[in-house]
Amino acid sequence: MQNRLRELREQNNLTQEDLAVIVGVSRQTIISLEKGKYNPSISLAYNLARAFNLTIEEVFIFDEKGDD
Amino acid sequence: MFNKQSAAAFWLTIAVLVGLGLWQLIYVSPGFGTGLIGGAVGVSVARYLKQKNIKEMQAKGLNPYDERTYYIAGKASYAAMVSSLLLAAVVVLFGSTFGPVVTVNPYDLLGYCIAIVVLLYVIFYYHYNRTR
Repeated sequence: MQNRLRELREQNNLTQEDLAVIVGVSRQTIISLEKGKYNPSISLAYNLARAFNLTIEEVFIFDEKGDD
Repeated sequence: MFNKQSAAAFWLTIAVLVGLGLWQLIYVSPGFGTGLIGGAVGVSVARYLKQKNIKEMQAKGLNPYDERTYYIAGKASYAAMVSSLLLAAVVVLFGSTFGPVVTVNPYDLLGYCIAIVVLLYVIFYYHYNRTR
């Protein structure tokens, strides 16, 4: 699954640590999400989208060929 | 993950290990006793450092036990279980076919098995933490 997290975070002048604190995860999780290595749960995806006042579909792009 | 109950269980385990170690050191096997005490001290220091890091993260408002931690731990557990079972199956197959008949201390054997599973878990956790 692809996402626009890095782009949105930079647009909002947030550091990875700031975003991690907002959504209640570790900074490593934000790094993995931005690199596309880790796919979040529905609740984390919702919290991330809400942090930018967007919908999940506007932040995450479903990739049918993606792995687990 | 580390609440007061688990902390109490941890320190109780350490106390039992040190007690057994002292008993072994004085009355039975000084080498084994030293190993037990050394292991208990090593684990205590490792836990102290880990807890220090976790408290620093929590002070910043970060969550050290988020969903990714559990995801990686789950994957590492499964990989450690499968690989240790495969390893055991290979050893049993070739050992029973070609190997000599050996007598082993079952307690030592169980200890080695636990050590291998824990080592595999740590290796897989490190691997998944870097790649996921």
